[in-house]
Amino acid sequence: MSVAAPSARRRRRIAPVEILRVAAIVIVCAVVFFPVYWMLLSAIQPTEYSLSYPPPLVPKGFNWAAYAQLFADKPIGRWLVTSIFVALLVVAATLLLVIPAAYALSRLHWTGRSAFGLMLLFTQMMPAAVVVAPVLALYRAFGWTDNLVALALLHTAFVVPLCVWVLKSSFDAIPKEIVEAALIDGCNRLSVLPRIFLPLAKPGLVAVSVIAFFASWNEYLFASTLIVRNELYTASLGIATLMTQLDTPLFVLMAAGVVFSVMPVLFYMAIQRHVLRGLTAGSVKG
Amino acid sequence: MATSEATGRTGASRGPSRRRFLSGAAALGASAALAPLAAGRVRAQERKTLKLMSWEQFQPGEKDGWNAVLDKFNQSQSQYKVEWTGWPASQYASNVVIQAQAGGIDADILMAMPDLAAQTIRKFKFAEPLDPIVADLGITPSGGHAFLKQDGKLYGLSAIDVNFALVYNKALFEKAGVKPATSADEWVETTAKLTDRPNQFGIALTNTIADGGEWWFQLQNFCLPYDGKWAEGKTPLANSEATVKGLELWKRLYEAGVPQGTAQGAIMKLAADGRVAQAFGVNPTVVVLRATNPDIYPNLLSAAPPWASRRSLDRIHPLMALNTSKNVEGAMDFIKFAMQPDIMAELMETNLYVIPPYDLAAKSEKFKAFLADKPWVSGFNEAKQVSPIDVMGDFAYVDDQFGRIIMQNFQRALQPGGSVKAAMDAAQRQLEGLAARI
Repeated sequence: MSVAAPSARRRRRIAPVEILRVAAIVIVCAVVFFPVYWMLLSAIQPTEYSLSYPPPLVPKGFNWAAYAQLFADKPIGRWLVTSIFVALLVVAATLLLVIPAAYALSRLHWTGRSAFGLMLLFTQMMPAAVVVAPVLALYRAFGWTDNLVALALLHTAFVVPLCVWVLKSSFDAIPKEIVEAALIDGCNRLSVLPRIFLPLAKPGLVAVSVIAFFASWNEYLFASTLIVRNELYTASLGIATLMTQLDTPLFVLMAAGVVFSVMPVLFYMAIQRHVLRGLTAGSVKG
Repeated sequence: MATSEATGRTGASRGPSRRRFLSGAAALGASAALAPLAAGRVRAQERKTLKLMSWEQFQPGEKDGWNAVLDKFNQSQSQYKVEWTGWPASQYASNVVIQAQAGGIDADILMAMPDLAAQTIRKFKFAEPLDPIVADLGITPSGGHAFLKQDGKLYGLSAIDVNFALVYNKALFEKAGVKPATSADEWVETTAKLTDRPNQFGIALTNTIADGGEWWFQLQNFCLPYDGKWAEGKTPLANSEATVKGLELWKRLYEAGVPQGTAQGAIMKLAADGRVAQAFGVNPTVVVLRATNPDIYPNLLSAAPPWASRRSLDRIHPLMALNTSKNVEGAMDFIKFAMQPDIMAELMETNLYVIPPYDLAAKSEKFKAFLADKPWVSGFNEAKQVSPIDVMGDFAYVDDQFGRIIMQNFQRALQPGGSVKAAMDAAQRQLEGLAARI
């Protein structure tokens, strides 16, 4: 009895905070997920229900006409393959550039290291819209417009600075003693990277890959400027073609949104454990 | 060699490994993505490719007509081949301007909205005079082409000419026992009578900033009911009495019978489903409604803008030959081909275009018969045409920025108790700032 009373008091004291916390989570989740839910709902139910008032919040019947129209009218398969191709190139190029850069910033001592790291961050502060015309002029001079590899290179350039900092945090978290032991055992400053750093920083590498993949997958501004041949459209460009003058087939667009989201969502679900570990790596170092 | 043979045997005995399967799949995917590149190169060697930059290849109800023009040109030619390039309308002008700012437009022929055409001719100076085509074909371009002229030369020929009028659903009007309005007050009254929320709406007017391009496209007309203008030269007139009264009319319609807060795509779907009685729109509105729901087409009619002057915006979308092209001659050939009476008449018939670039009815019996058979064109023909350049002054070059300032401020006026005059006073101050920058 004497034990139960303080416990009950504690529960009473905590309850309002808990309720607020749960309420906040529910509200935030509703705000974030409702548009996605509405997209899913509108893409699968007959259109007259979505345009009725009040709109039904649970499906009232199923109609796959929007998907049928989407796949019949638009080469969405080709768009997705092209997007995957570009995004994978971006992931590969990003890893290639980011690994040595993060290592150099994390473990090598050289003049201007801090300034270089900060400079990388400054490049992230310039809105893409400001540089789009100069980038186009440059790409034209090189003959790189309508070229998916060149587009991937540009996406890489924009994602590398952020990824360097993410991977640097992972490298920072690797204990100095392990590296020193490897050096004593015969590794040099270069060979310690593939033998020690990369295996131990796997979550960081996964996080960097995810950031690069998503940045490329969702990118629209540069793709629409540099790619004008319809055969080379990425998915983000292709879906935008559904929005025409005077009319947008809203429910086909919703279906396209669902198709466009499925692949990244599955990808993210498969690796989210590594991502969280990667993004928090180094945060409690000390 | 020995190693490779050994590897081959191992692979054969065990079947393909997962790694080999994945690398094979990746190679297939990459080749599928790159195949069009290779095919494009082969075709390009045969004939010179002309790039036609436009948004029409994405337009439902219109792309087929244009594809037919391109096919006919390509069949008639041994020297050139025309291919599409460009973006959908919503992103078109900004992408073309980015290209122009980067030094040139990656096309030989450009189709442009009126404000973009004016920029291409006067600001970027990328257009080639088309007077030789006019002389060769013996045509007289319509009066609306004035804004495409500079120093006595004509730099564009109308490919699509659209003007605004009242498009209405005859069946819903008859059911409500009303006729198309002829004055502003009557317009609000009939709109209210035709409205039975949420089942039926009296009028389709785009009203969300998310559809800013479409909203401004319509709203730009509302300086005209009381004979106003948005600007005179570099002087904005957003808070002038005539403009404020025009926007107050829009607000009254909004309150009387607009599907408020609804996306443009959903409004068009409601209209196609027969749940919207009228729209203040351009003639392709009929084309889009027909494409979405062919059953509604026989019920569509048009009436002149419901105000005394009957003035509404006329938007000529010209074809222009770009002087930055290496194939200017080819570009001129294509425009000349498209402007031939037979070709133009067929395009207009297929796409339900009703305003020809020149007096086509005098040159084509087919087009004359087509127009006679279209009861829904009368309202568009009765409207008195005004060019956007005439109402926008020097702001025609920053049309989208001007429109955004108007819409952002006007949104406040749509809230309960909101004042159009106060909103436009605020807009006027911002527009004066914009004037200083242009």
